[in-house]
Formats: sequence, C-alpha cells, structure tokens
Amino acid sequence: MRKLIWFLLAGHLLVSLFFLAPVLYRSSGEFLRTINMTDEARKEMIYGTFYRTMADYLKNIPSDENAVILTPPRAYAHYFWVLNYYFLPRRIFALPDSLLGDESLTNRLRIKFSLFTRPDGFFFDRFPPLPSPDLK
Amino acid sequence: MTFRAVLFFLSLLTGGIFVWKYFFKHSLFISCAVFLGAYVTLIFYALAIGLPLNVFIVNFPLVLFPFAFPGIKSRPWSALRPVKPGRLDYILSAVILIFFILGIIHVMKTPLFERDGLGIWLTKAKTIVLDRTFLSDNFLNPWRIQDSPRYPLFLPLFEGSFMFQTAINELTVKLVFVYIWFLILGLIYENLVRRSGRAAQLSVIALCVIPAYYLMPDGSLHTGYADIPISLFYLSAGLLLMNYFQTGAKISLVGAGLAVAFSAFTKNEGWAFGLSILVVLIFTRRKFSDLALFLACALVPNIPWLLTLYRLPGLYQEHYLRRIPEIVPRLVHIPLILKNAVFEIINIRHWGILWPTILAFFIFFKPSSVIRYLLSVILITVAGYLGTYLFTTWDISFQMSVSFARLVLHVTPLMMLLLAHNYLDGIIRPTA
Repeated sequence: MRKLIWFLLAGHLLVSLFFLAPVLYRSSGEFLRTINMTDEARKEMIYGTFYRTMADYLKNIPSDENAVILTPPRAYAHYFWVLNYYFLPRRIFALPDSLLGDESLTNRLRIKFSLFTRPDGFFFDRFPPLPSPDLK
Repeated sequence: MTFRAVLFFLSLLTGGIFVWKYFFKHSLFISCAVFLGAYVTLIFYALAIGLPLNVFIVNFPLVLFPFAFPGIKSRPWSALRPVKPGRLDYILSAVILIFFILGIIHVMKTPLFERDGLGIWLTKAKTIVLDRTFLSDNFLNPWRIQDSPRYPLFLPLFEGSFMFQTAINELTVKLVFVYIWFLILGLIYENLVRRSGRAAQLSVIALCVIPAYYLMPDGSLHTGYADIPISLFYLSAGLLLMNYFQTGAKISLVGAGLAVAFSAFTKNEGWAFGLSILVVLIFTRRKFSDLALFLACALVPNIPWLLTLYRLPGLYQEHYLRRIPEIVPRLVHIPLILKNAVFEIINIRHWGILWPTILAFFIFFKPSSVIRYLLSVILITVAGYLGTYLFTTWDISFQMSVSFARLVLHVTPLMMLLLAHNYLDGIIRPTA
C-alpha cells in the first residue's frame, strides 16, 4: 500500500514537473533578461503598444483633468479597466448619453476628455464627443 | 524603498510573534496569518472612522515590539527545526527551497498585468494610496467607474498599505503574494514537522510547492488575484478547527472564527466556507456556547464592512439570490456542472494528478473523525460553489472554464494538509 502511495506522489511530481519545467525555464530566462530594465521599459514590454500609446496620452493630460467614457461593451472592458488603473489620479466617469451635453456637469467634474474603446485599443478625444453611430 | 519594504514585513512578523506569545503558542505561522487578517481589518476600521491612511497606521505593528519579544523563553521558530535530519531530508529540503526560489522568480519577473489583478484589486489599492481612504469620491460616486465596487477590501488594503509604505509599483507590490505564499508553506510545514515520517512530510510540502500556483491561467500567485490570500485563511481556519476538535480549546475556535471573518473580508466566497463550518459544528453536536462563539468571531469583525458595503455603488453585481425562485427548471444543468467540475479536477495541466491522488489516499486510508469533519467542510463549501453556477446568467461551461479552477485553488492547501495527516495517520495506525 505504501508503495502505491509513493508511486502516486512520484507520478504527480513528474507530471507537474513536465508542465512546470518549461514555464520555470522561461520565467528564469525572462527574469535574467529583464532584471536591469527600468520599470517603464518593463511595462512597455508587457503591455506593448497599448501601454506606450496610453503613456503618451497621459503625459499630455494634467492630473486634475478627468475623462468621460460611454459604458464600454463588455468585450472591450479589458482595455478599459487597465486604463482606469493608469489614468489615476485623473478620474474616468461613466455617464449616460443623455448627460453628455450637460456643460455644468462636465465643468463641475472637470471632464475635459472623452474616451472611446475599440477592440484594437482606445483613443481619447476632446470633450464633448461627436455623436458616433459606433457608440450606440 | 528596500528598507521600507523590509520594515513592512518585519512589522507583520512582529505582530505575528505578538499573537503567538499571547494567543496561539502552538503555531507561529497561524499566528502570523491571523495577525495579517487582523492588521488589514484594523486598518479598515481606522479608515472607516475617517482617519487618513498614514505612516503610523501602516506601521502600527511596530508598537507591539516591546510586548512581543521581552520575556520569550523559547524562540518562536525553534519548533520548526527537524530532529536529526537525514540525507533524504536534505534532498527534499533542497527541492523545496529551489522551487520556492524559482516560484519567487516566476512571480517577480513581470509587473502585475492580469485584468482582474490590475483592474479590480490594484486599482482600488492605488486609489486608497492616492486618496488615503476608501470613502472618497473614487469609491462612492456611482458615475465613477470601479470594476466590482462591492468586492471585499482585504487585498486592496493590504496592497495599498505596502504601496503606501514603499511606492506605487506594479512589480514590487507582488511581494505581498510572496509573503502569503511563504505563510501557506510555513503553515503546512510547521503543522507536519512534529509528526513522524519526516520524509513523507517533506514530500507533501514538496507537492505543495510545485503544482497549480504557477500554472493556473487565473488566480495563481503571479496574477494578483485574491484566491491565494483566501486559501491562506481557509488553511488557517481548517488547522485551528482541527485543533479545536482534537483538544476542545476555545481559543482555537475563536481563531477559526476570525480566520473565517478574514476570508469573507477577502472574497465573498468566505461566507460559504463559514457556513460550511457552522453546518459541521451543528451536525457534530457542539455546545450552543461554542456555536455562538464561532458565529460571533466570524461575524462581528465584518459588521463595519457589511455596513460600509451599502454605501458603495452596486455596479456590475450579479444578484444570484434573486434567481432562487427559478431554481427548479435550472436543476437540469446539474449534470453539466458536475461534468465540468470533474473535467477541471482531472486537468493535469492545472493540477497534475493531485486530485486522483487525494482520492486514492482517502480510499486506502480511512480518515479519522476529525479529518472527516474537515473533509465535510470542504465538500459542503465546494457544493456551495457549484450551486452558484445554477443561477448564473452566463453560459455555464464558459463561466466554469474561467472561474472554477480558482475556486478549487481556495481549498487546495487545506486539502493537501488533510491528505498528509491522513497518510501519516495511516502509516502509524493502518486502518485499511
């Protein structure tokens, strides 16, 4: 009985190692390659064009200017939440279409930009956004 | 920054030693886990009454230093040394150490980039650091976008405290997950090191170092999800409950209740775990005073959080309970749910052959009553998890494919520990 148990344990370790070895090999290689990178270069490596584009946008937006977003389709949400993280301390608001023309509201919230998401990324535009059939 | 990071973790360990000295003398790592939960909960209380996050709040465990160390007769870690280690012990220890280091490299090689890790947990953590509170417009304004604004705040507060102490950095913040992993492995090691059959103990720890935590698509160590932290509290609660069943010590029941409270403050699934423990306590005919004590410890620490919850906007919530009246026609999905569950636990890419091995262990070695109680807790919890898929508005197979593995991860460390105990019990006292 004890032999069976040891056999199962050894089998489990071998199966795990079979899948794990390439992952750890790759991780160690990546770690050694990126250990001297700056944080910015490392982020760009991971997020690619998305991060670089976003960083370029953020550089030009003062920290007290906010953005408005039309609630994104679920499929594009990935960009959106990640963008939300980097956009801080600037803030992103989700407003219903009906409030987009309300200047007192957008002035009060210091909303200066509108943000559009697309399957291949995102882009900012100066507020107010032009009506776009894609957003309906 | 390195100094501040070291100070942060040393202060957590100081708090752990304080709890060890005064409450849980039998386990340093349980003390550290309980203190971790208490630390974050106390920070939550401080922010909830309107104090801004500041250096004194984040470093308050250092105040415990003069109470923790003077008068200690034996070192808290002296019990961790194996007696007369042999060659196999050294080999297995080396394997564990190598995989632990490789694991850290795997975790720390990239900044957090997974959608939930960054978009839910770390976004809230960053907000807390910038606003110094969770009662700001960023959390309370329903027009402000937060993904899942009502998710519990343990992880954002823990990450936020670390980032407040060091810097907002998506790479270094992953150290909090390394710390949690260290506690999980330490808990298992400490619990097994005093038992006979040391090679077997080390093998089990080697098992715990290797699978799942690296390879899971979601929820593993490097992703920054809350699934690893909640598994620490499940493990702590399970161990304390085991101690309570064996010795009847009330302090262990208090600890288990607190660990449940902290798990519910980490993810809502923690309530299901607490309910499972309550069911088992009722069916094992524990005294009413014990039930009341457990309930009080599991509920009372979270009352401020439950009150805060209703101030937070309820965006993107899926109100499963409202769909209970539709339960009867949905029962036809049970075979599909069970099929997906079985396919997940035999997914060797995620789990190796861990779950078939666990099954074999419990078939060949009849578990003791205490282990049976804890197995029941796990089974009821998993049944509860599976039950939620009856109410989902998503395609069941799709939702299970992206979420069920993470739910299994919650109970995996506790299951491994039960497996080890069952195995060691079987060696000492073969029952099958």
